[in-house]
Amino acid sequence: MALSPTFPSLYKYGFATSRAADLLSKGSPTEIPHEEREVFSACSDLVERILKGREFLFGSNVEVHNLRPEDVEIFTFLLDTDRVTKKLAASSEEEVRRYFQEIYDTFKLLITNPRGVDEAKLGNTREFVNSIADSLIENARESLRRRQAEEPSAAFHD
Amino acid sequence: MINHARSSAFLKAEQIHEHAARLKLLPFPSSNPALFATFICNLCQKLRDRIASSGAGEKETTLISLFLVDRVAPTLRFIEGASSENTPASLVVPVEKIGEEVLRGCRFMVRRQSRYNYSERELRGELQEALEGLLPETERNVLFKDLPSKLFAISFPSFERDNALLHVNFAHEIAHPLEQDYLDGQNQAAILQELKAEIENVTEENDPFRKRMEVTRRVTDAARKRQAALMEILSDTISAIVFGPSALFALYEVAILSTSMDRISADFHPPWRFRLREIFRILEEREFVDPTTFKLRGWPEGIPDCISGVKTEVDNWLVKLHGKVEDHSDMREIEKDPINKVAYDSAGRALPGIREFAAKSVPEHYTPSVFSEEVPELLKRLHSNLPPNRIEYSLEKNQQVRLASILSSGWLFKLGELEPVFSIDRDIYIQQVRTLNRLVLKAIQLSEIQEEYARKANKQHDGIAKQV
Repeated sequence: MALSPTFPSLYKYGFATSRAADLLSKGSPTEIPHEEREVFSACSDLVERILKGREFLFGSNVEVHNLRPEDVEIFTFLLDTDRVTKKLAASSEEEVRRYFQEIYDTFKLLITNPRGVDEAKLGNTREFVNSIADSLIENARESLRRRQAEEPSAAFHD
Repeated sequence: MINHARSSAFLKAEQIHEHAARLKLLPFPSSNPALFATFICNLCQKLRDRIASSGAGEKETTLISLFLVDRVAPTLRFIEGASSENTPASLVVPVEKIGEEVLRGCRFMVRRQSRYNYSERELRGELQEALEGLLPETERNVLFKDLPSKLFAISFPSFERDNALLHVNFAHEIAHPLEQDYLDGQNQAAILQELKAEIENVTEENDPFRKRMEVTRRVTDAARKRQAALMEILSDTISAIVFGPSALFALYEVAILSTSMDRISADFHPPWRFRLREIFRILEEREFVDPTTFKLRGWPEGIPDCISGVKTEVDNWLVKLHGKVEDHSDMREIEKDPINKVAYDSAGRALPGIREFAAKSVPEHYTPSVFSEEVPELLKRLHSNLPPNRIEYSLEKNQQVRLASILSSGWLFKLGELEPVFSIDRDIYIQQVRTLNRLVLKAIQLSEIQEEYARKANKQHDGIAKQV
């Protein structure tokens, strides 16, 4: 399943998760420069939106604060594309929440206290960003394909 | 492999930079396209630096390449299409001014496009948001510091460049950016919950998990359709507030080309019949159109013979169109699909709020009294082959008119005086439409010059008064 052509943050989260995947592949970080904190902050923002989307779909909280249709879209996108999310959703809805909450907390810890991050949780987070970065790159390819189909003429000869 | 990906992305950034630098030198009717070209040059330079740095990994480099081709390179078309040669240059400045009045702090760039459509796209926000994941905040601040808070590209169909009357549709596009303000004032979560409750009732599925998934997909679908419908109606409403009946005439000319008047389009735009009906309603509410006869109001008593034929023809046109749009076959089509029905029921409840929001958003409304005062006089000028740019009472005394009145007179002249000619002699008709377009464009240009002159004269007068 692809994100809709109107999904607004494809490149923002694509860049953030791609860079986070590279950063986390270098092992457990001890010091986080400001620039890298911004990357993890964008990733935690993404996971927060996923959690909101999850809450709308599975949760008991009727009013999800500041919920946008894109939040629901990104969560259903993961249910379709992410191996771990798919597997967890098949067994327990609560497991899905715990999984994303843990990733969210890991990003928060990476920003504030990287030395305190548990190795196993870091491994899960690494796997998550790798998977979602690959999915978003695929979506960017699809976005390009669609744009080419929409604009048949060469870029400089409209 | 990573080096190959890097060098490929680097060269793409370099080539786009070169094109933007060349385009920057073209003549443009306003300063906005050159400003944007300079920004693209700086952006490419920044991306080249990022690609060349040792920090850029394989995934990131691949995505930079895609970003350059998918999002940055297409903006070159916007710059090239905005050159003086490619645009109705005399109309560009007034259109940009209307946009800047409605949206304070925003700038506009009018450009031609190959697709037969009017469209709007914000250029800064999309790029800025994408770069949030790539460049640090300090670098982004430097990169974007010379761009206005929002820069909108308004596109028009390429070969319609000289069809001045059709460009009334610019107002619709200028209004699109207000969508976000409207949406920010809405409780999105409550709307989603409302749609969810209704969709749960029409979704038949026994397995609870599958039902939740299906409901969520349908809610997302309904939310998109609802939002797209309201946003199009918001823009149509603003177009009618800015340009009056011309908004209806110009929109109908685009609607004629549609494959269906009754279906929701692939990009979720509401059916044309629905949109035209809503514009009629706005024109009735604003007292441009009589709600019982569906004819145009605002003609002065005792109109001269030279324009009485125009009135009759335009009234007939409006009555016929009203009959078409009140058919409601679009609603019957919508009701065939339960998701569409939920989306449009919800949209229907929001329409009064949309009208209220639109009215508050436009600083200067075009009113029937201005129409009544200016348009019949301008029609007389068109009838005498003069540009409809002012009302002349005597050699010394003349009155500036609104852009909306210039365009209204052009539309009424076309529908009421020229279309009957079509059935008699097509060559004469073509010649007369060309003349009309030239006169309307000339009137806009003259009116702009006159306004600029008046502004300068007032400034000078104020300066002398202060010295005294």
